[in-house]
Amino acid sequence: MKSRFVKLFGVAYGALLATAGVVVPAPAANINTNATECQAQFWPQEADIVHTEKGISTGSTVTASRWISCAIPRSPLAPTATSGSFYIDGDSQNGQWMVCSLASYDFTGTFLGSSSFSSPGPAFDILLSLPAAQLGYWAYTGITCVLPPNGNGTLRGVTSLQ
Amino acid sequence: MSTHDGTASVKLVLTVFAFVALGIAVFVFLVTNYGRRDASPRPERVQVVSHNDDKEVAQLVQQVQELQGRLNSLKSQMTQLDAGAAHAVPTRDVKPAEPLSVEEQRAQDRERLKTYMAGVEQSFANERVDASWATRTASKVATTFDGDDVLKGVAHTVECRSQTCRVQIEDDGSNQLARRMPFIAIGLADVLPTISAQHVDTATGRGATVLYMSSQPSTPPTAAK
Repeated sequence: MKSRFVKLFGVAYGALLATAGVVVPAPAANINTNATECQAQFWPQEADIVHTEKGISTGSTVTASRWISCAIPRSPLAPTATSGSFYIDGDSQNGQWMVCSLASYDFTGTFLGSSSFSSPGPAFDILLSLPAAQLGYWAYTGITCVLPPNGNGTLRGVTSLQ
Repeated sequence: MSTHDGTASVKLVLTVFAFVALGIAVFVFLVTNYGRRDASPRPERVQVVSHNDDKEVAQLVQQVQELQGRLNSLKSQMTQLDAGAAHAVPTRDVKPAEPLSVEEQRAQDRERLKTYMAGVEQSFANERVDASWATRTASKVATTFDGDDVLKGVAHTVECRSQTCRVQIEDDGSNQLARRMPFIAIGLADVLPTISAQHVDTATGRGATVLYMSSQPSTPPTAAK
């Protein structure tokens, strides 16, 4: 009886190994980026910015808004795509709001286009799109945001949709 | 009476002897059969079990081989699909294209942007003029440019219609516009959230950048996951 189980285990293990040999190509996927990696736009304001696992905001004692900029990782669009989309998530408190602009530049630094928004409410989950023509194979995307003072707004992150 | 008693005694002795003999026979039978079965299975029975076991294993091996064959077939199909997807073409008659070189890809991107911006330019040309909106928005654009220390000194023209403004900025070769674009975009986010840029040739030879700024967002602003 024991011998039979050993044989069955061996056969099942062999089947598992055979299956593991299949390399399934990874499909294009969304890229979620936490905004904590964003940087202050102007020197020397980095000390006014608070980076946490929840994102980025101004310090509670900072009395003026602060500009930040973030890289937005993405993959080249599919040849048939007509546009590329991005989710920008964050919060605004105490009647403050946040303004952000997502922009695309080609590899020479030439500005191609941008799409902007003002946060519509306490919590925002904004979908921005750029035409595929402005998201070329070699183009770079980034976002600039104005954070409200006194920690009254948090930029949580950006998702590049594929 | 004594003869009758003697016969009865003999019958009793024979009966007891017969029972004892029967008991011994039963004991020997039980020891012979049950003892052997407990000690080790009959060879015939072992052979039958072993035969069934090998048969099941053989079936499993055959199934694994069939699965391996199907996996190989799937691998082959996936390879063909990947090759087809990487070189997607609009018609079946055209052979799959070779991977583009860096220069070819950049040229393709330039052409695609040129085509797209031609459409934007045409849309602006066809856009009706809303004098009230145009005046109000042009003023906002001018204020934004004048509020920027770098751009306020750069020659530019502003033309607004009903939902789009066209801003042409002379290229002074300093690449200042690209650096200041985030400030322009943020400053006009509430009225002109969408910007598309185009480089055009001018009589000066330096060229100019044309910004088409639209009040129409690329997507509904409240669109959520």
